[in-house]
Amino acid sequence: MKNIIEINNLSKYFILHTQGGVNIPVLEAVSLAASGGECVAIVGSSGAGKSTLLKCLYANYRAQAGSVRVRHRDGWVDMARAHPREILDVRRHTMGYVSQFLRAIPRVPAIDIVMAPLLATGTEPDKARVMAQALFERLNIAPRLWHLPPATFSGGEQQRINIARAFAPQPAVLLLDEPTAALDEANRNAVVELVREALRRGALLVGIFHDHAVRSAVATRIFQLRPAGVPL
Amino acid sequence: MMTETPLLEIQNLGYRYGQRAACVDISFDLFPGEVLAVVGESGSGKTTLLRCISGQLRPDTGQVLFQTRASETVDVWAISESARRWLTRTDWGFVHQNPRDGLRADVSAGANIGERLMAIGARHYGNIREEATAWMNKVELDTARIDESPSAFSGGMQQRLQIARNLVSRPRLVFMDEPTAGLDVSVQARLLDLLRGLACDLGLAAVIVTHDLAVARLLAHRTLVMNAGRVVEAGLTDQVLDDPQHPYTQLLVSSALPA
Ligand SMILES: Nc1ncnc2c1ncn2[C@@H]1O[C@H](COP(=O)(O)OP(=O)(O)OP(=O)(O)O)[C@@H](O)[C@H]1O
Ligand SMILES: Nc1ncnc2c1ncn2[C@@H]1O[C@H](COP(=O)(O)OP(=O)(O)OP(=O)(O)O)[C@@H](O)[C@H]1O
Ligand SMILES: [Mg+2]
Ligand SMILES: [Mg+2]
Repeated sequence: MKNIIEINNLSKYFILHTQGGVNIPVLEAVSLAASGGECVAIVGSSGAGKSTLLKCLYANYRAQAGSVRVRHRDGWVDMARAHPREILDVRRHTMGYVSQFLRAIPRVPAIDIVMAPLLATGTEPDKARVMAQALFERLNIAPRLWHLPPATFSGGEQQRINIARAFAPQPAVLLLDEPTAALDEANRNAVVELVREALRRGALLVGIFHDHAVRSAVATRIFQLRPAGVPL
Repeated sequence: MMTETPLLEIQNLGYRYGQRAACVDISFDLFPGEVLAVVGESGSGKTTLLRCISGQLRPDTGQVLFQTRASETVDVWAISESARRWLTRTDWGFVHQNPRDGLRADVSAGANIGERLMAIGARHYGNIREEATAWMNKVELDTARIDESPSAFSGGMQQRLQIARNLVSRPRLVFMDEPTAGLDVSVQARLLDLLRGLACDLGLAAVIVTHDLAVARLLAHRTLVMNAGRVVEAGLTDQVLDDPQHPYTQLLVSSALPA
């Protein structure tokens, strides 16, 4: 299969100007290529830069060097250099991201949060509602919560809203940062099923899975990250 | 989609009050449907920039180019005063920080909304009143109060009325100066939610000046950071807030409450 992402010699460090300009190297010349139908599990010690790598892929963080190319609309977009409008277009149509924490929007009900990415890509409202509800049912979100804003939900409920929102539009690339961290076994299994389904339709998943059982259930490949500055 | 021309293009804009430079060499563009936040501390030049680009304050240097409905590019400060005034009534809206600066106190709430329609040629009283009522509904104001003076409204209600007055003429670009400042937190949240929905539904482009990073996070696709009259950092809003590069932006983000 052809590659969907190609990361080449990606380097990322943080210069903390408020801390006297200290430089924190995180990623050094990281390269990774992956194609549809793969689930790449990023592993590495705490602080190795796993979340940073996903954030560079999503262009939430900037890269200092290297390229982060994503196949989008019959071409390649380098997320490290693309114009903000192009990055937003990639996020809308090609790439979903499950962050570790849901950033709840005040006053917006859970169902609207999950429908929003569907509506943004042209799905009819009635169809979008049915799709959102089906995901809620699979993820065991109680119907009494559907029309409430998630700000007051439990950690696990918020995480499942987050997962539903990212999976709903069936993007070609899904980035998952510890998607099952706050979930019980039944819900972990529901997420495993969603991941497998996405793989079957040819999506690429890149994820961080601390839970060994989940990782071995979904990963088709392990990508080992070593802390910057530590020799192989 | 990526080849669209910008709605607004600012080139090397500069403005000084006597010896004090308030805006220095500012350039950026804004595309249709895009929301841009301008953040920075008090006195950094945000309001001055907004007034220069919205036809209220003539910049000393630089250009403000705007693409009209007819797809013509006009140089906002090279056209006649009356052409500029026409733009401010039709294609543009301006939401002031203080609703009193954006509302007329001597006429009713309904007339405040209807006035913009009349300015662009609407004459039929029944239609104007109907539109005004519809817009009061959209901004969640009680339509039974259509004949009351805006001074009888609370601050948050006045701000919503000001938004209705601006949007009734279907502008394509709205300028807002601290639209939520001075309001209760709960009223702010409601107003932000309203603005987010309207910007989405109407495909509005907007430039929003705010000192509140949470407002930028919620509403803006892109964010410009101003410091001492200059744009020190610009980019995708979540990138600027989560991975700030400039020392000033890092200071701003680290001193703010979590956004
Ligand atoms: N926005 C940021 N500003 C400054 N430093 C950061 C930022 N984000 C991450 N870092 C630093 O980068 C390093 C890698 O962090 P990252 O979150 O990627 O680690 P991780 O591998 O995901 O760890 P964990 O398993 O604990 O989640 C850490 O030293 C962290 O402090
Ligand atoms: N009419 C004026 N005459 C002289 N100086 C002015 C005038 N208006 C603003 N200034 C100065 O220009 C600079 C920029 O002011 P401006 O109002 O644009 O800042 P701002 O970023 O909007 O600040 P705030 O967040 O407090 O509203 C400040 O130093 C201010 O004192
Ligand atoms: Mg992490
Ligand atoms: Mg100001």
